[in-house]
Amino acid sequence: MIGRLWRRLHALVRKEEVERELDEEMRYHLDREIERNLRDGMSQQEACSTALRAFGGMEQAKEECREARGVRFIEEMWQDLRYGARMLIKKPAFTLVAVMTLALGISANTVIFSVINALILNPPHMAEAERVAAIWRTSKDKRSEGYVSYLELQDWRAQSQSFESIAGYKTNGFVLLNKDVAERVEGMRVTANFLSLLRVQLLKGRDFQIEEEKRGAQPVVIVSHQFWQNHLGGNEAALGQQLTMNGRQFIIIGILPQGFEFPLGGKEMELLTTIAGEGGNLDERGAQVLRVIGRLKPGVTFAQAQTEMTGIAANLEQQYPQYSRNMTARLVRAEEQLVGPEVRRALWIMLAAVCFLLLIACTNVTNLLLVRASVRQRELALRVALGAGTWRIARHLLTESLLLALLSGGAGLLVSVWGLSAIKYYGAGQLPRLDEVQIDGRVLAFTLAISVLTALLFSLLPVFKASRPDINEVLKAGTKNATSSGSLGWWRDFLVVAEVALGLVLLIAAGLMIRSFGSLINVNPGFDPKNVLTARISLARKDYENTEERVRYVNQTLERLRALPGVESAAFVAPMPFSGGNVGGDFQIEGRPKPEPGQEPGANVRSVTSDYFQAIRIPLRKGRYFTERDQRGGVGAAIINETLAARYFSGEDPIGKYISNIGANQNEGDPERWEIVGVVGDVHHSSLTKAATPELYLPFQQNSWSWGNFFVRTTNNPTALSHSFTEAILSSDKSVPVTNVQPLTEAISDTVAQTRFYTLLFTLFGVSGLVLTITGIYGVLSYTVSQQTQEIGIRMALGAQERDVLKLVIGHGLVLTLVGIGLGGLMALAATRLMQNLLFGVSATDPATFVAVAVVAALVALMACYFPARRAAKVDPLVALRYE
Amino acid sequence: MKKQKTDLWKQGTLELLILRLLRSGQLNGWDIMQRIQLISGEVLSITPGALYPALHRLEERGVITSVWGESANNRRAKFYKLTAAGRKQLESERQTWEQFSGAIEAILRDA
Repeated sequence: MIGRLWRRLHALVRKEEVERELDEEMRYHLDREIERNLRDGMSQQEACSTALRAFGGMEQAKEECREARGVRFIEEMWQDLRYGARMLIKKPAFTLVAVMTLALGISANTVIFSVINALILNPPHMAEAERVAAIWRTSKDKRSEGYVSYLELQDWRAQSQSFESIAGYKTNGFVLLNKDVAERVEGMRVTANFLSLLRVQLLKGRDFQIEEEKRGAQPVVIVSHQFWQNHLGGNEAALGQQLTMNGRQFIIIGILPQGFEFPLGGKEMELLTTIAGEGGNLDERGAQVLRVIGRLKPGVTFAQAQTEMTGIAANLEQQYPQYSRNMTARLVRAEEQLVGPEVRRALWIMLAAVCFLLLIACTNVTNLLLVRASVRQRELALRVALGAGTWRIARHLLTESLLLALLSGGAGLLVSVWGLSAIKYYGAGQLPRLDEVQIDGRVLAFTLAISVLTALLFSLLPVFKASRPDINEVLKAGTKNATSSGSLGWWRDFLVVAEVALGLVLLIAAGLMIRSFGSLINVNPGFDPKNVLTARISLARKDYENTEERVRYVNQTLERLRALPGVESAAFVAPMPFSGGNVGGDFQIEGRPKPEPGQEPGANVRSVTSDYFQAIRIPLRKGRYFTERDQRGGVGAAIINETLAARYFSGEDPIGKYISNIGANQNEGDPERWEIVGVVGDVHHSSLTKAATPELYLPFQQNSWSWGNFFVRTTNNPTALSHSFTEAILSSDKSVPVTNVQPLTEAISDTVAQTRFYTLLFTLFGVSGLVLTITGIYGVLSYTVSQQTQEIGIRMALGAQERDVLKLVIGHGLVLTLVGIGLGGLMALAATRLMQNLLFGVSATDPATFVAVAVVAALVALMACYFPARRAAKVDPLVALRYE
Repeated sequence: MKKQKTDLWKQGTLELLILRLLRSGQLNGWDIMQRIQLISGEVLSITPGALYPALHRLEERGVITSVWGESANNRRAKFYKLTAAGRKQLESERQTWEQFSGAIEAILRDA
């Protein structure tokens, strides 16, 4: 085998030598023959000619020897390649159109595949990630992801056998005070085994010890490599030094290795401390603040671990019904936690969409090739007549196609480099792991593979047709358009239909996404987000531990903000809609029987300054807004939204009712009882797609929080005010860090960005598909018309009018289009079902979209038919009859 | 066309004869041709146009190899010889042939 390969290579590389040897071998034979003839008494001349005659065609024998050597195959391929390249250069228009068409399809596939490659095919950046799982506390009916309390985590740790270790963590921002200047730095609070679970080796220093996660332990911190370089000068002496974080002193005990990342927790992690900082939360079974990961023991399957955790959760439910009623534990593989099923699904759907695009591109190029094949038919027929075999011709055409496809693949790769940076730019924040997307070996292999596949696909029909021409017919016909409406015409019609159908599916998908996006941005959030500028602040310092100080700071800052030119009103709220998440809490309604554990009324709780509702424009439905008179001491004032009123006070008037025991963020000295003083309109607080939830508003003076957002309503473009807005907040106390300064509309549009991103992509695919389809229809009809010139000339000579010719050509195109639209509609009906959970407010089989898209497609196709038809109608019968 | 002459020579038969002739030592193309004519008593004759491609095919398959050497009249010539694989193939093809010809013979004689 290797010997044979070697001989082939040898033959190829040292072609001349092989040729010389072949020559010499034949020559020797001839000489011996001549010698014998001479011995038999022939004359010199006679001896030579007799020997040559006896040999019987030396060139043919040599050729057969070469073929036996396998040299010929490679030589012919080289010949085909050169010939193919010449053909491509000689027909630049054809080459350009074909390469552009295919490059579009190939690059779209390459881009989407590289995203899939990075997000789904590549394992997460964690040591032995296949054994790491996120563990959530979820209700049995819902698949929601819930956090876990430290006490429950301890129970899990103690009772489970499947895990090597289980760790808890929560992301946590720290206010770092450095010479009176405050800075907010992102970090995490973790259990002591967190880093060892992740198999992280510290660059310097030591890992946390188990005692350091207990309440009251000496505060210690491990810093990132970047933090060490930027804040501590990269100095070894940093170990043992102290950092002032959230007003407390932390000792630096370790430095993380460069490039440390924890994919499940966000990537910019600068400071790692232990959960000792959670204080009282550690002893409170209701304080579900931790996210949990576990590493399975080797050999334990996810199913086994899940079974065990379900059992443990059932025990805990028995033991602590007031906390764990109806709750269970659910394992999610690390890679699925990182890239959820919805994103995966969306990506596969997109891959299907770009495959359709590539199919359309293939159809177009097939058509181009068919047109060319009918022009080249005489050339090919001649070669067959001269003895070329079917396989030889097919190979020749395939080589040409392959050359074309590889050229397009190269061009497509260039385009996808550009496409990828566009995806990274527009998709930032919408897709996880996007920064890992790149063109690696696997992507290159994919691109090569689809290029080759494409070549096979688009040349299948032309090769099949062209390599078995009816020699007699073609050569006899003598004109270049030997088969105008014969069997090739039927295939062309079929291709147009297929193309229209594929294009329609893409367009309908795009149409559904656009409709969905439209209904999404038309959702009324319940307040007026225009001209509102917000900023987040954090009061996590000793100076702001009690309510009086916080209220004084907030009021003083609000005064400064209201004094700014261009500011209509200002207020403070925690958490800000669309920027701070939600904080949920249970409460009790006075005068009602105590509800079953787990059945307590609950709501999202918000702390707001008294003019909040007026400033953000949430309408009052009943009762009153908060006023400055709602001060501390005595009974508190509470405002509820319509959803809460409907759910817990249906049929009664909630105004004047009392609630108590609010289970969220209560300070010492806050009111025990709260009187409901007003009902306000519902508001979408974190997502436009989710229905409004029960909301409970409390006055900031009576229930202060240590963080929240200032916002101002401006008379003009709020972005222009960003600087003076930030300065005004800082002028109140420069040690309070100000972050996330942005217009509220931007925060809202961030939440619809994923849908917008998908919509953008699908629209792009749809429009590309449409353009390709139009060029396809246009090309085929133009060609058909040019082939029928003679026929049209005869018709006109016999009295056909311009109108009749128009009708003839357009009618043909229109029939094909309509059949295509019918088929495409059916295909879309089946295909768009898969998109249902990408859509909002529109059904996957929305009739309006289907009809609208079909009409648009039909109109555009009509236009593509019109121009060739027009040309046909302008034919001068005299010229046409002479036309060949 | 020219092929008709080689068609008499079914490819396998020619190859079998070549292998058999090479069993006793290396030969060049011309020698092989002469011997086939001589031994068969001029009944079988082959053309160079059939012989040389057959030799190259056999070499490509690895059942024979070639070396350049001195011929009887002191000229450089290409000599072919059997490889181990060639010997094996000769043996098996010879058996097949004998079975085949025996069968034909039996039918011609007795039928």
